[in-house]
Amino acid sequence: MPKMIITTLMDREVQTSDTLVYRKDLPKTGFVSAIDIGVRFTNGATVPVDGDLLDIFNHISLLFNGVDYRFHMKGQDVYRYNWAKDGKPMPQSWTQVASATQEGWFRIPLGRFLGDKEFGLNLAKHRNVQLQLDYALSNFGTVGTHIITGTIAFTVLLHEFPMGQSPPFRGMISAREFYTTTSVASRTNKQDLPSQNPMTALYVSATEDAIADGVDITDIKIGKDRFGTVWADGKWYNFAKVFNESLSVRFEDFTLTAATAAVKVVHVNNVKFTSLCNENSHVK
Amino acid sequence: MANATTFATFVVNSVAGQRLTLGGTTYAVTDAGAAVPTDGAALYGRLRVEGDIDGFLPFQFADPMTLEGILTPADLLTGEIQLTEAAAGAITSLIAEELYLN
Repeated sequence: MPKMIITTLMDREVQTSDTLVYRKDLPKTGFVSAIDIGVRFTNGATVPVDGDLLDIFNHISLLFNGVDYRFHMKGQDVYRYNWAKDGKPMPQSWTQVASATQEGWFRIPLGRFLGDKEFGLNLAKHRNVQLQLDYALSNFGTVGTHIITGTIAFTVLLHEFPMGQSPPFRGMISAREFYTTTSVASRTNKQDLPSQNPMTALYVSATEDAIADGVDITDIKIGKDRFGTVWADGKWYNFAKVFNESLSVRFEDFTLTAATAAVKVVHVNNVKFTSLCNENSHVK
Repeated sequence: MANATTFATFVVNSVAGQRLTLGGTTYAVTDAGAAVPTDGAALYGRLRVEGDIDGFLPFQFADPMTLEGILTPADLLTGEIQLTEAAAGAITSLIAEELYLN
């Protein structure tokens, strides 16, 4: 694998707006393997009650030539997608400590793996490639109470090949949300798959607060020709069992405070183990 | 001389899906050693939770390296997914991972 470089496009740039679709044009040239996005903000003096950093992003998107969303997902789904693809989640620092800084990272992968020479984004092939961060701090909590206004800051890093190297990219791999709904009781929900491009994988995201996996959606079937050919067919709980066993990391960490210890929503289900460690010396 | 002070500890009382209900217990300490916090509100706790990724399933069609098995546009022309929904309330997304050829 050739040596990759990391180009800093933005470094903890503080945003004046607490709610915005932030747009950042990528450079006109370069061979990019992945884009990392970091977000930071400062908790208010009143300790946030069960806010979730992932909720801040309504969508993280990569828009091509002004019309073509090739990467497009909610913050919650990007976090899960990164975890599913890499076997471990991107770094997160979730804390309820008053006045502390929270930080989360998200990745837009553009090849089979970081440093892939065959698949990635050749920026020169497109008139414009724009990163869009559709965010609202109010999704986390009350701005001014739980979060200090005007403290959200973004970092954007490009994992790219050095200038002078031209990896022979055959194409680019990217993931996008193509259908959203809220489940209803007793419905068989059939949806056509997008057919413009070859598909490497399909992801199903279905979450509801305080509900076990496999309750709202019990069965999934994927195929073609009115299911004359079936590619997958089974129970959610069985698919979940097989998939999750392959992950290298299966836990999350949080910093809590005594004052807000009543409820905590996490991003793991079928919880197998919890541990709590009390501390009286803490690094924010 | 004994000095009275208190400190709190956390416990997980129950788990429902991805929601944990935590509780705290305040202890009175009659001999305040150096390691005992004097203010319960200043106490922090680390929570680690282990399980499955909440509400997310991948269906990998292509070999991750060779891409053998990738679904072609011809395959996808009549391709469909069927979700059996048994209860209301799940925020649901379908996400396609696609190959864009040069």
